[in-house]
Amino acid sequence: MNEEIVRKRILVVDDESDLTLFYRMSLEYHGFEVEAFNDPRKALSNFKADYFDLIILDIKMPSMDGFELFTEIRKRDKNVKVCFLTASELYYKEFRMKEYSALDKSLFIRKPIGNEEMLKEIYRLIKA
Amino acid sequence: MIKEGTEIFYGIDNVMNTVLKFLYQTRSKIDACVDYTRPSLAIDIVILKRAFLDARKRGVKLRYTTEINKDNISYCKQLMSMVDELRHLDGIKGNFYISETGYLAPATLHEAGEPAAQIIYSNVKELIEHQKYVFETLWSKTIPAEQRIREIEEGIARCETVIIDNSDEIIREIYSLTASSNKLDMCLTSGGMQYSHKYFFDINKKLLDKQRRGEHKGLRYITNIDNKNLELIKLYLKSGIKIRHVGNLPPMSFGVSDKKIAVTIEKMEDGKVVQSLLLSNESQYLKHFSSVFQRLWENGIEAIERIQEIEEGIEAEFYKVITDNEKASQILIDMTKSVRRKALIFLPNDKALVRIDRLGIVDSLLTASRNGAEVKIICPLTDENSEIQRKILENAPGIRILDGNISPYGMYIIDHEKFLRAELKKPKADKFSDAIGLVVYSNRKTTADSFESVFELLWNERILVEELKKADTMQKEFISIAAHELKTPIQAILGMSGLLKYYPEKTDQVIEVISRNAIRLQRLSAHILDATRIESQTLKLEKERFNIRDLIPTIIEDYKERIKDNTNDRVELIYNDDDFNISHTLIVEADRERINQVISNLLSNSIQFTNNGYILLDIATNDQNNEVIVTVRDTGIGINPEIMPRLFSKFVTRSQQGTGLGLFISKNIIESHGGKIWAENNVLEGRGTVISFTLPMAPENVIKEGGKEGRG
Repeated sequence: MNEEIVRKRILVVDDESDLTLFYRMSLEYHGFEVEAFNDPRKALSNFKADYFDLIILDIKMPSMDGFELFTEIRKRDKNVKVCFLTASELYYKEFRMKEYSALDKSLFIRKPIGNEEMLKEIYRLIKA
Repeated sequence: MIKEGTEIFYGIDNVMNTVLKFLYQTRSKIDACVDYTRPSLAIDIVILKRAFLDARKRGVKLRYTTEINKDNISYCKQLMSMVDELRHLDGIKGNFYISETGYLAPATLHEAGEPAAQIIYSNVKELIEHQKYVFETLWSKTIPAEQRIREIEEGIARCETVIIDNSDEIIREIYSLTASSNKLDMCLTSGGMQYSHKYFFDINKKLLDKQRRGEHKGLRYITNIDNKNLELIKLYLKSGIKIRHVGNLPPMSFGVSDKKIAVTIEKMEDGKVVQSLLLSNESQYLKHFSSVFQRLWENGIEAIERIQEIEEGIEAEFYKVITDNEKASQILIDMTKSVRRKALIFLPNDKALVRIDRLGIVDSLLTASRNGAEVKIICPLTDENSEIQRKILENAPGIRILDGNISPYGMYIIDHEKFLRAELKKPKADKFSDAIGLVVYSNRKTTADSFESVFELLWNERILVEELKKADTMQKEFISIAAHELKTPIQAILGMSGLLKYYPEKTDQVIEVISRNAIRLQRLSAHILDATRIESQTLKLEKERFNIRDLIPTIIEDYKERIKDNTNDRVELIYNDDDFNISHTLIVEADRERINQVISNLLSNSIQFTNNGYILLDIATNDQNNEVIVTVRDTGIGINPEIMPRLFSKFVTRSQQGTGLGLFISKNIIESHGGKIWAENNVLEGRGTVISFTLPMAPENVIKEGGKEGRG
């Protein structure tokens, strides 16, 4: 019997299609199975609980922001690891402070971020 | 006559003989006291004159007193050289002469110029002694003739101060003071008003006629106006007398003309009111009473206002210090209950709002606001009073509250009329009456008005502070949004360029993404730069005169290619300028580059959001032929009605590809040129957008024949 290499599965949600293209290309190159969505609502309707090793969410999205999406995902999957990838300074500070202070600072990855560094963060988050 | 006795002689001739004998027989002196009619006799009756001169020659000492007036002044002057001493006394009525041995008293009914018809002669020692005393008494009251003559000739009134008790004389003197005045100020008690009306209304009327002719400076009256003398006051006002009200006048009436003062003093004597009159023409009294009157006048209230006060039941003006804190609370409660038009409330600290709510004042303000009154509150806003803030917001959203600073006093200004200011002594007290110190309360319009200005100044300062805070927030937001927008293409470039080595076979695709994002980054940073220049008002336009009809075709050419690629040839780009004759120039004075930028922006937007149909660029002029109108009309997806109102604001975008700044910048460019820009739905086609802008046309536009005006 062949040794099954279980590939880690990552879900990425970001409204910018160039960025989801980048995430997919980068993560797939490094052996991750990637599902990427530009529309948070589509991401939710196709969400598979207990499936992903890591979920990466952009915060500032037009129809639903990252935190709301996070809450919805949590409803469906209590344990899945979620991290935020964001360019938004203002919202990062405000939202985190006010409503989501329970969230660990280390769960926030700030854009822009280089390839290698992003990989490092992702490995760290998955292993944690 | 040798024997001692008193005899009466009758008949003019006898009288004259007796007088002559008296004069010729006198050895050492004669004292004469005669009325004003006699000096003319002494000069005109030759024999009498000769007798006087003869007595003088013999060394007889002649002392002569009479009343010198303008009728006998010339005679008196002559008399002066005929006697040793001539002196004047007012109002001498009887006549008598005394020598060392005899007494002579011509008796005459007062016919000027007529010698007496009977005469008394006496040489009785006791009688002569007695009359000598009478003469001396009168002589001591005389003044030198020279002084009197000077007074008459130069019109100098003698300075004197007298007190009169006789009521008829009082009336006469006041009448004379009034009649001889060139201006008249009267300060009267209510009794004095009645008195004046009874005896002097007619002479006052005469003076008013003189005033109308320009011969009199007018009458001013001061009195306490109340509803008892209201009608009399109105009568006086109508006749032309100026009147002012002063409350609490002392029980003294006085009048001041330009020449004299008259002061009446009323006193009770034997159960009756008795008046005396002090009259003086001495200058220091005139000055004193004039200034007293002036001071009262300046503090007085115009009669008309006072009448209005009384008739409309308006209360008199006051400015009070209130020391009873409970009373002050009640006053404030009543004040705020009575609000009709406007309430301005300035509170010293956050707890003050809670304290006045306890008194029910906030509820009064809520009611007033709901009934249409304007209510403005400046108050430090904290959690301490947040509940009351909420109460106000929910029940009377018309009330405006601005955050204030801590202050040592509170102010309440109601309806432009009532004003209360309370010092804050105990900031943390629970009750209003415990918290306050000194309280000032006034219903003076001037007071309320000046504090209203103070309040409005504070209000405007607070608004400015809020605006600055908002601008600061907006600034921070802009920066963070701009930064965010920049990060996305940077991430794409950064990430994708890192992937080049992993995906050598996908080089073209990767490079395409990099290059697209690089362009996006470039455009974004240019836009952000423009936007910041606009914000700081340093966007510079380089204007030149050019024909806008020359500019557009070049832009169209550029975009024709793009549109073919972007829309797969499903969208047609049309430029409509058929309305104009080919030589018709539309000269604008504008920054060519920037106008290019605007048109390009509009075209890009249309291209981005139109999948099929057409994009039409149209150019026209308005009715007055002083504006160019450029329109871009498409059959695209249109604009979300939610976005419409904010369409030209920063960071409003229908897509992820745009910077969200294009229309914001376009609007600013157009408006800087003095034009307008606006957007509508493409109603004609039922889908799509129409965006138009105007630019002022340069005045010397050439309109050649055949040139037609487009749709304006």
